[in-house]
Amino acid sequence: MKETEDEIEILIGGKAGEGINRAGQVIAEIMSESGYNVFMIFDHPSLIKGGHNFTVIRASKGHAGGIKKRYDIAIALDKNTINLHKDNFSRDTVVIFNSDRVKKVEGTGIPASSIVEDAGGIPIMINSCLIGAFCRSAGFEWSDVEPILRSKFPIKSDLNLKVAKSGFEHSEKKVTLDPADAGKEKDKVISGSEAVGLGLAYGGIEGYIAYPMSPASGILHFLSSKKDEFNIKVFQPEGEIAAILMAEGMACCGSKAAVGTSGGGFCLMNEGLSFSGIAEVPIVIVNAQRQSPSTGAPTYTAQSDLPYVISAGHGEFPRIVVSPGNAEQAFVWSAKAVGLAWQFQVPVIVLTDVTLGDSLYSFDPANVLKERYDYTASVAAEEGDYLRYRYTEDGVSPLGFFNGDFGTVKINGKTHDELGISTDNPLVLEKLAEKRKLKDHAIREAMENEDCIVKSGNEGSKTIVVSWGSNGPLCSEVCGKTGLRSVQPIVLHPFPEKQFEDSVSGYERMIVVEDNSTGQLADIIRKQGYSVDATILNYTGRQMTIETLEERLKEVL
Amino acid sequence: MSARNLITDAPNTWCEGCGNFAILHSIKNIVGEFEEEGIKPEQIVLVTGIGCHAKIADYLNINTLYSLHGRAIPYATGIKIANPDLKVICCVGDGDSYAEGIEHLLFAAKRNLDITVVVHDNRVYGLTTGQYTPTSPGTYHGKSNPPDGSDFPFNPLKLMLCSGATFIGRGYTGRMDHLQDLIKKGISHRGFSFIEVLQICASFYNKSQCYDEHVYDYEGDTGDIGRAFSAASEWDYNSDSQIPLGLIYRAEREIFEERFSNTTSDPEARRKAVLEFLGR
Repeated sequence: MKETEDEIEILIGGKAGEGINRAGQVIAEIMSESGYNVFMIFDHPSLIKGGHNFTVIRASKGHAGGIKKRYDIAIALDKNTINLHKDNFSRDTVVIFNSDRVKKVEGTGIPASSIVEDAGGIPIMINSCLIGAFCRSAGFEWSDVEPILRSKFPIKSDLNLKVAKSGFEHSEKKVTLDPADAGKEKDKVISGSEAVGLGLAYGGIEGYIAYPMSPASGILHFLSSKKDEFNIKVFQPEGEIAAILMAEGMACCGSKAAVGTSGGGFCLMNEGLSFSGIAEVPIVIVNAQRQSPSTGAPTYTAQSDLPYVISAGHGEFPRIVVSPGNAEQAFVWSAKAVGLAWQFQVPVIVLTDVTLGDSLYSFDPANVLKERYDYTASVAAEEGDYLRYRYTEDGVSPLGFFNGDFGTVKINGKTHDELGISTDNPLVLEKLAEKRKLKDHAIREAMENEDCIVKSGNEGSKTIVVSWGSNGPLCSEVCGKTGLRSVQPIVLHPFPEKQFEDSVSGYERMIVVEDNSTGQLADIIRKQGYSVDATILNYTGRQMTIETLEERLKEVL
Repeated sequence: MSARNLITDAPNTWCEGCGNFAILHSIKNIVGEFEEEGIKPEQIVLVTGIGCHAKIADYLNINTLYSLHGRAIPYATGIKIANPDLKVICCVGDGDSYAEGIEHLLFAAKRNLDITVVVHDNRVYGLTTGQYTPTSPGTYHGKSNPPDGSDFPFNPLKLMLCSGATFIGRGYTGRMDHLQDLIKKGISHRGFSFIEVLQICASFYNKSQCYDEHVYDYEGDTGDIGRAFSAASEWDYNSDSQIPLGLIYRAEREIFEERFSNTTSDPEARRKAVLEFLGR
């Protein structure tokens, strides 16, 4: 290793139920408070106890768009962690392990179980002990980390601190980290799911209704825990069908509402999606993608629902599909999703995935608060004869709600006249279809005023790497290192044609990177008339590492 | 009398003699009576499913949400979460809410959602031309099932008793005054009101004679769930027996939407809370 490091990668692994995610989070927050940008993945099978859980924390002075293969520090709660990951260790990897449980291993053995027992603690505190050992290995002074750890151990903090200090003292300094920027305002460390929840709240939702389904449940849990602070009505109904319809029922009363689910639940929501399309009820749907069709791999990642969410539902109706790639983008676009749904009275789908939902990210509030969130819903005057579906130039009728102020409000999922009364009249059917087309046109125009695409890397490069969702930050980092141009469309439907054209101008080679087996975005880009020279498709259920992406780029360049 | 016409200009397309007319006029009259009592029609929302019953949304000049097959109740739940002060009536069909939407019915009863569900139970799918429903008798033969009959029917009253409904009654479209009184009591009840309406289908299942011969006014103790089960069991929707009409069961229990009543809708307060969470 170098004299001082400006980035560090830490593995912590053990069995499900041993608090691996929480331990990783504490380490991520220590690194964040020390001025580093962090990205932490949490890898876990779909089980509660046993198995193998691990987190990888990448902390960097620069980008932390993905994880790397080589770990600088590995913290092993069990022998399995070492066996499963030893190929990712180098000669310099510092291995910290619970020597009471892990035998015949070289490195920094800490008798963590004994330390916890002697201190009168509980088994989960083994984590605190090993975190303490990590802190010294990573070159921290106890006086620097003690206040950070105190704030991260809200329960039994004195005992936890005692155990952590003991771990610290059993360890030795192995790495010298580059000192942090003094005076830098501290980032938050939040998960993608929390960022979605925060964004929805900031965008003005009054209700979040969802049935538990990985990897969307993190949003439900977060908003449920914050429902009083944020003044949000959070409810778990009997299923996804009920969830979306209840949220639409709220919208009919003027209450902004959102739902969250994964592919299988989104299937069930389809009739509610089509209802939103014809009855023009605003709704935000978060679809957190998981790997494979049907129940698939509930805790593993994919980007394989893109054409599905763009075309889901029957009949023809406008919608917006956005796919943020990290916590800051998730906040911004979840908030915008609420505004856009209400401005145009359409469904807006926020497409996330396991990587985004479960990972932790550095989050700088300043970056998200400078965005524009001033969307205006067209609300009817509170007197006069109200027509719920009044024909207008842009297809958007003024909204009126079931609150007594608008006279009779008739909302209808059947083909209807301007008042909302059912009709099969061919002229009215034609007019209704045209109303939806006008609205679609208005949406396309309005989206030109949004920054639909994130551009980074070497803007002069004629080789362009296009990616979407959680692969965006990964490609951005790799392009920054390798001198390529990175383009990440966040708005995927309606496809931002003009902005995409600008962002790829002068390109000679276009490479599309996706976590699916068929090249879903590549297909959309080809349909726009562009040649795609190569695709890098990954469908292991895990996001590629920086090194893997670099190697695969070399193969196609 | 109501200050405005509670019937829209939409042409009525129900068959002559259809039981839906009695339900339409009962609800119209109730809305008119409420208006005289100071409850404006705008404070009422009617949510319907899909089927002949659902056309009532087009015919009544009040707030309506013409929803999806079997899904009136989740929409009603959302309305009550957003605004617990609204009076919400769900007109649903037997095919609609006992088949495709059954889970919503059971869960709304379980939660004691303060809505009134009026089931237009004609024991046949009318609009889709006569297929069997969950309350068709076992001998029923329609276009979709063989001549040797259908399944054994549900007993909706017993289902509702099991599920926790706090107001359970049965009306009959052949006795409109009685029906109107029962629906009004249901709307006035604080909690989940379930009103099973025996309705004739003039085209596919006209049971007028059978109902006229077998219905009687139930007068048992409506606070006793054991008695209610006995009353609900008197007729099994399959064989001939006496059919009790009226209120079968009533209880008081905390209502669902109360848990959402302490929320304000101020978007600025919400943004401020998010900023505080972010340390800004």
